[in-house]
Amino acid sequence: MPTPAQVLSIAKISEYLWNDAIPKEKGFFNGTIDPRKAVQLYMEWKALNYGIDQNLSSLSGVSNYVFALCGAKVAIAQEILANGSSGGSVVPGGGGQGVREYSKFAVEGTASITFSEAVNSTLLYASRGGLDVGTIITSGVPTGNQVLWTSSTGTLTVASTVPFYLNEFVRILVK
Amino acid sequence: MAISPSFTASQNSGTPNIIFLTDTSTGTDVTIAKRRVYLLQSNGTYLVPTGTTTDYIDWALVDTTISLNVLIQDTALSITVQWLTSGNVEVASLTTSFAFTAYNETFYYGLTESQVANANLTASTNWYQTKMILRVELDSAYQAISFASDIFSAQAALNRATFISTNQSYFF
Repeated sequence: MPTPAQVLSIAKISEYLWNDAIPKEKGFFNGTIDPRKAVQLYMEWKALNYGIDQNLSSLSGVSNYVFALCGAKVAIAQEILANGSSGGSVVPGGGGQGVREYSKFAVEGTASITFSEAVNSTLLYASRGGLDVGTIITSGVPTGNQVLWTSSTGTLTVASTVPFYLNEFVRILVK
Repeated sequence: MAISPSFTASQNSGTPNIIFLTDTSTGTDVTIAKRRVYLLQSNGTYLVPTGTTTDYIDWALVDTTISLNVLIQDTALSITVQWLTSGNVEVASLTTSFAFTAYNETFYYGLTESQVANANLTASTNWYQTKMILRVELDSAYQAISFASDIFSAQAALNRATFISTNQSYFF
């Protein structure tokens, strides 16, 4: 269970997500979400914020209550809180919690590209120019269509014999 | 180094009647011999503890923090701290506005505690609408202070919030 301070952050993010979802949902599905959802979250995280500041009694109960109010947005909010807002996204249609997608354009002639948002993550998939790469290795020197994933730095390295071409599109999935 | 005046103000939920001021100034000035606090209210009068006969409150230089038992409800104040010579010549002065909201914020927190115990309370439109109005009034007070140092508007919002909390039996 997240700490009250973490719940506060998650609730603020969830408030935004609900605010974003309500008008869309209203347009496409005739509005089945409680329209008060985002307002309610705002009202309750303000109380939680005061409880944290003043170290009030029953803080855990209020924290759990606010966490529950985040509802269906809680997983995405936790994901955003954990990974920041620097380009991470949840894979539509079921990447599931913890799976993120990043993409970049490579510099011509180089053999490695760094995804700072993916530091300390596990590489699940990578593609170059829309084509799947070969075996993902985590040590040694890549050859052929292999790629080396260095988790500690979020760096993807290709074989030096096949460096990136100009603005080659590189896409990865990590968790 | 010349003094760069600075102070903070705070309040605790358990003792909402007390304001704590802390001197966070940097630098020194050997001519400073005394320090005073003025608590200006929105009605133009100065708030002082019971028994004080001046408009200001003496704040001894040896005390970094002073506690002032002056509030009976949420209040917006324009607080001025003066650093003076022994001859009462002003060396430095700083004025900052604050909204002291512990009375109503603590009450508001209590409403959320009630919801934790009985989540169905939010189904009552009247109950929840009033809580929302209370939130709006508190936020209005903060914004009046942060955007415009407007203690008059802030106090008006706090008075509306206080009306709700002191007449809670009619609303909740």
